[in-house]
Amino acid sequence: MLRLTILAGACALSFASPALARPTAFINARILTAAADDEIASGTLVIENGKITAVGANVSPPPDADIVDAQGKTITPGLVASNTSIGTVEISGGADAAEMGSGSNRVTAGYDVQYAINPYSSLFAVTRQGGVTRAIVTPGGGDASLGTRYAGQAAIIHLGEGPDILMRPKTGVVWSLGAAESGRGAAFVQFQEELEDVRQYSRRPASFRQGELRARDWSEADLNALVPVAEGRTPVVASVDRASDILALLDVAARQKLRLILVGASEGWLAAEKIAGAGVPVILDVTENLPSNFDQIGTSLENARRLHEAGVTLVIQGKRTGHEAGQLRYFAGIAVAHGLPYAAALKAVTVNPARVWGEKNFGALAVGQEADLALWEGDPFEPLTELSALYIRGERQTLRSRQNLLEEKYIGAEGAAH
Amino acid sequence: MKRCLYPAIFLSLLASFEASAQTETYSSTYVPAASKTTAIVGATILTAAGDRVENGTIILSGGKIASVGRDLSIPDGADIVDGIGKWVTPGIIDLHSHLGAFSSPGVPSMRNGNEKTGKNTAEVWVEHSIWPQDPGFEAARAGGVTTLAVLPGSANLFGGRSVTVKNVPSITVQGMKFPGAPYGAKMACGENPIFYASRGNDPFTRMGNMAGFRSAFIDAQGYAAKMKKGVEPGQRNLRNETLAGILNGDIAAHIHCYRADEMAQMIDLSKEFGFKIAAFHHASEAYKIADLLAAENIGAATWGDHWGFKLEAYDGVSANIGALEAAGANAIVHSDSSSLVQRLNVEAAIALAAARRAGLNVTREDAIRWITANPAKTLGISERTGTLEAGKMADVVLWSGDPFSIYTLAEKVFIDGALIFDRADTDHKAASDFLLGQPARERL
Repeated sequence: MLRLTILAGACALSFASPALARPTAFINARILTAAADDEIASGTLVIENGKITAVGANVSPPPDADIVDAQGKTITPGLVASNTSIGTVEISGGADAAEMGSGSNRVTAGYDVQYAINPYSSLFAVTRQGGVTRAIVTPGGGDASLGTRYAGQAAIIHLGEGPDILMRPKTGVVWSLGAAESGRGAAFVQFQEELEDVRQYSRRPASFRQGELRARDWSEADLNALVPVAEGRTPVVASVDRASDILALLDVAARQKLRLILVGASEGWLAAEKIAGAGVPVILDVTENLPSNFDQIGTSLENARRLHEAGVTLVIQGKRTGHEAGQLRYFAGIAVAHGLPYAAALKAVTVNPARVWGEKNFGALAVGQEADLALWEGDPFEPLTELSALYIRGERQTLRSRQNLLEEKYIGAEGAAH
Repeated sequence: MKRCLYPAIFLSLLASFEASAQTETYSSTYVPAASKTTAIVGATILTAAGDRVENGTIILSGGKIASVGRDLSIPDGADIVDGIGKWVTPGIIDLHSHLGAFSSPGVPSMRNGNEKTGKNTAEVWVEHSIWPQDPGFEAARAGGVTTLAVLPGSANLFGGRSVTVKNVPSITVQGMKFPGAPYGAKMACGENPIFYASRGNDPFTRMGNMAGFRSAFIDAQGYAAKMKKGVEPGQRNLRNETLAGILNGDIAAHIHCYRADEMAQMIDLSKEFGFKIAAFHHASEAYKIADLLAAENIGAATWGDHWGFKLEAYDGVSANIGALEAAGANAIVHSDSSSLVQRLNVEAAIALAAARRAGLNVTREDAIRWITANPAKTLGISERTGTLEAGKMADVVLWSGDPFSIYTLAEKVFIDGALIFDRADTDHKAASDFLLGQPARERL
């Protein structure tokens, strides 16, 4: 039996149904896969058991499938928010601001953001409304008074309803040049000395108790967090802006065989060829164009385009605050407005962040990928485009937030607050 | 249909213009740059004063808008700009900026936006902090911003005087000051004065905030009475001059306030002392009291989608602006940010989308007023700018397309008829001295 569903408007109450054995086929959809640059102008996408089982212009729905007529709506992969604090703070100022970073000099690189994430945060529903289905949650940029540049370990979550949102903790270690007050002449030396200590500890754990590790006053938690970084298994996510700092980090990473991800990189375009040559991805806030200090004199709205043209793998992030994680799609649009090709911008908020953070199972609309889908009334980067429906791992998500309840309570749907 | 005229305010603002003109020091030296008669032809025009004009023409002449409409005859010798496929709006006005006061680069010596040495610093004038070379000004120009209200910060109850500036390249602040624009003063309720002053100082609580406001205005009442008789030169009190200006209507009260209940308290404060509140800024909960704000004729300036950064902003919703519009209140989209000010059109689009999602019947014609005519009204300059009507200052933006699209950029920005920014012409991209000759920018 064919069952036909027509997607209701964005305000309609949706529901999270368990992933059923029966497949669902979305027909008559414009599909932007983020796997290829070309769009599928009108095609079909089939999901089953939380995975994508078919996608293409000439796909026939399985006979037992529930049919969703997309009526020309656009399907993209769910968006992936990078370098966000979502879930760790309910309000940024005051109440739980301490959750944004360690605050302890015993636990710096070892700070583990997974414990700060509250699956019942009201921010998740708001963020889903922006088509976001996954997030890489990072700890805040460190504390100068702690004298360390390590902020701690990131975690990957999905934004589906329910308490089990943690997918992979310890997915990268955040290091920020600006987090401590000593000069670069110390910072880069210290960075390398510390990694030498970590390698020694990795070879001979007793070296810690025997006091042989001298680069800093270590805790074992920090050493353990840095072992996979020193071995190149886990990325070091380095926040720097100045071109010379980027080049210094590329050099250290090459010599020490680190997996480097650059964050910020205001002057990245000045070193674009070398970043591309090193195969190092860059996470950008594409709205940055004013220098907040002398490390960012070269900051420009052309950064994304120029890095892309040089062949750098780009990840677009929104503002770090989790409250605005749902605005990621506008940041992609702003990058396009300033010359980044559309397909590159879509990849920069979907498949690129997934791959950069080591995730192979989501981020694109391709067979075998987890079924994170966003259905849009039009161009997803446009503010005036509504999100019609969102699926995470094949489950349709509610698109109602606490904010909607406030709006309904005080504004009402009749057209007035009179 | 939702627009109203407010003759009472208008008269008082006119009066203030006259009063300040007599006594004004630090006065504006702004002179419009040279302009040519210009006709933008074939564009979609949002005038912020009525319906849109499709395939319209706007003629700028002598620094003023000469005419707006269809099938206009173009004066001989006019520069003709092809507007086909493009849109024209009034210049964007940001009601809440700290450009030049909290400048880029934000090095400690340039944190000049808030004299937070006490709960009441009404004596300071933010124009004395403004650094005209802040590269944020030119970035805002590239976003179509032609007028800005620059305010002191919100760390104390009275932050000082604000100033309205034309967003023109200038060596001096005086060269930017909007001629004859009334002064404003910044007040702040809620968390900020408590939080910043809590280190051993008062106010420590919200009730302390209110007591601080009331005590200050009681002092100022006495001073205002003295001013009427004439204050001896050595007896002037700068703090009370600003507060007396609020009381007598010369200086517009701009109040940083998030919560609905606190805005209601501030309205009561204004009634106790008989002054008029021009606008609540940030106003995250304005939608809860949209009718009250409309009835009191108080503007409410907020963002499209910015909430949760503190508890008093926790109930912020994106349909806030739409709710104000629907209630007939003066709805304003502001930036409070050197980044957002570059895209106030997008911020308005976010608010427009949210209003529609909430079931409100709101149009682009409404939304353009949130960033043009409405802030002009609040700043007391709406007779002179903020809409595209004949006789007004030719503060005009030519956009590459629909200004509520994320992809649209300001192509040409005119201030008093002079082409101040032209995306296609590097001569019109005045760089701040700070960025001039920087090797890191040579290849940009």
